[in-house]
Amino acid sequence: MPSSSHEIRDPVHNFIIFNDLERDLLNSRPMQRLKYIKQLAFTYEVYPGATHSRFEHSLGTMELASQAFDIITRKGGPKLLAELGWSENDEDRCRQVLRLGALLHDVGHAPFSHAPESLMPDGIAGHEDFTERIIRSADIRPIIERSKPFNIDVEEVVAVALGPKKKPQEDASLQLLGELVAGELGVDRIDYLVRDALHTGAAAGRFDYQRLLNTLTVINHPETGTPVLAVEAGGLHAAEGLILARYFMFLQVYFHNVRRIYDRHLVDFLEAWLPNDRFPSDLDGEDGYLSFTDERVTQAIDHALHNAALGTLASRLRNRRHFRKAYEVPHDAMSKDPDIFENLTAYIQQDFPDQVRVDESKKETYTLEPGEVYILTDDGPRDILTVSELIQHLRPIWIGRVYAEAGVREQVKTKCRRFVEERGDAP
Amino acid sequence: MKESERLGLIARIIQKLNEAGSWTGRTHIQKDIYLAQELLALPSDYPFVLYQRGPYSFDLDSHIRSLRAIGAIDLELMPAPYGPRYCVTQFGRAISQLHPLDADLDQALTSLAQTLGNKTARDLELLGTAHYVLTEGDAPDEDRISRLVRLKPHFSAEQAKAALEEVRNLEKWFKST
Repeated sequence: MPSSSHEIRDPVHNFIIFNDLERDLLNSRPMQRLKYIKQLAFTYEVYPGATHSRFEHSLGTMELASQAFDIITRKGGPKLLAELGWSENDEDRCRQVLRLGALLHDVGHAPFSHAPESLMPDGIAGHEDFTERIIRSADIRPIIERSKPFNIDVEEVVAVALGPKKKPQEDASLQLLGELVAGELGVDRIDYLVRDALHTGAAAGRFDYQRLLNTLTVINHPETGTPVLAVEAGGLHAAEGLILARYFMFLQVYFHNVRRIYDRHLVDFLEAWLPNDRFPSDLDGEDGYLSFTDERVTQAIDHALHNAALGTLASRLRNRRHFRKAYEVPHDAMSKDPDIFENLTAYIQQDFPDQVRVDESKKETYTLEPGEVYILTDDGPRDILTVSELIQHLRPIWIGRVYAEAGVREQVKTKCRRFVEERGDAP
Repeated sequence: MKESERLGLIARIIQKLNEAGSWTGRTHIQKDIYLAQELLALPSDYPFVLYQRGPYSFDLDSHIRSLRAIGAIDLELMPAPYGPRYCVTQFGRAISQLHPLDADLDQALTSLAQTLGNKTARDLELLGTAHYVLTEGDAPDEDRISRLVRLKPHFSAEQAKAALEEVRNLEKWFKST
């Protein structure tokens, strides 16, 4: 078993205890890099406290992962171990696999986290693909392979770090561990909500997460019989709290209009600054993917302020010369005509190709659909949508915004409004 | 495919499942559209991966959420122990008519909804996975059955064999009609 224990003080979980193996991973180059990647990109331009890093979120996720694991295995007892095919020795081993997956789950993030996800190189669909490659790389793999006596396979850590949506598993126990990290009730989500709420000061993100953790349990899926995570009836309000916190944090923080335009300006700058308009696919070297951090990009933005080609793009980010919201398509117009935003975008960009940017949220998933969260009631597992009217009435959000440079903002606003009003008779 | 066309198409398929008397849960919609793409060349082009209950498309999932966001489908609560089911609203019916389908395809989609609609989510999980396994390349049936049982250990080898047979029959039937 990994020997001595170490501790780090954390603003959310107080002391986080970790072992030698985890310390070696924390000290590795890819994990240290996460200290220089902010969790919420330019959100600090709106909420000045939001300067926390992916590093502290990764630590917090690891801490919560083992708290959740201890709770569900204590409740499940030998029956759960048998269903998952674990012996008592396996329990310790799986706990370690889970902690490593949780610690490394965000190791592939680009600078400024999600903002420049569209600039991944060919063959890389998203930061998760880099997470997978980095875990298998010479920086991380040898450390995991030293995990005696557990002999953890790197692929197990990849599966847990990415979770069942990104890395579907045939093995029920890996699927469950992945769900503990990245599922609807997963600890990644719990940690980022609580942490983001703390650092932004947005009270909407707070919820009774300790109660939620204490009521987590494992049930057999009502249709397939496979072990899945669920919440005991006593944790219903805490589960509702998590879902509502996510919903309101989306509205107030993650999709804040100023925050979103900074993301867009960052992409414009990076497209102009990065060689080949993309991040590199190589991990290593002076200009490899791992060399890109918020600090490196921020320095580039500073240097570019006096550069003829990049100065304007840099100034939007550095001197608050960001585009302002000119128009937000009303929800009922988006509902009546699902093509309206696409058509509006094409129309407005014809007249203002460089002075307008658009942003749409329809692919975001901030509500629940049937079969995603179960509550264990006295009558057996029930879909949360059937026991919580609150969650049932939560509607998915669909927002479309048009931003414009100060000089043309009013003009853009008028044109957008007229365009949408003229199509008001759509079916 | 434009957004309205895609959303209209899914709304139409959900309507067909509703009309076939189907429970119309998420698994029904996912497996119906998966098999419609595979057997009927439905031009929706969703990428499917093997997920917890067989072939699953996250893009399709996102569009189902969009349909709820615009009020084209709604959830109907059913008495315990059942979960909620999806129902097409009047608005959903309206957008499904915006881009009419080829008549033969439309008829084939009705037949598929009638064939799959009243199966349980568990049966559809096996049927969808059986088709997925058939697309994985040449292999003797014994290997396919073993693979299917390994993927879905809560089914027996006999059930896996029957599912492979059923998928092949469906394929033949739709080809002949």
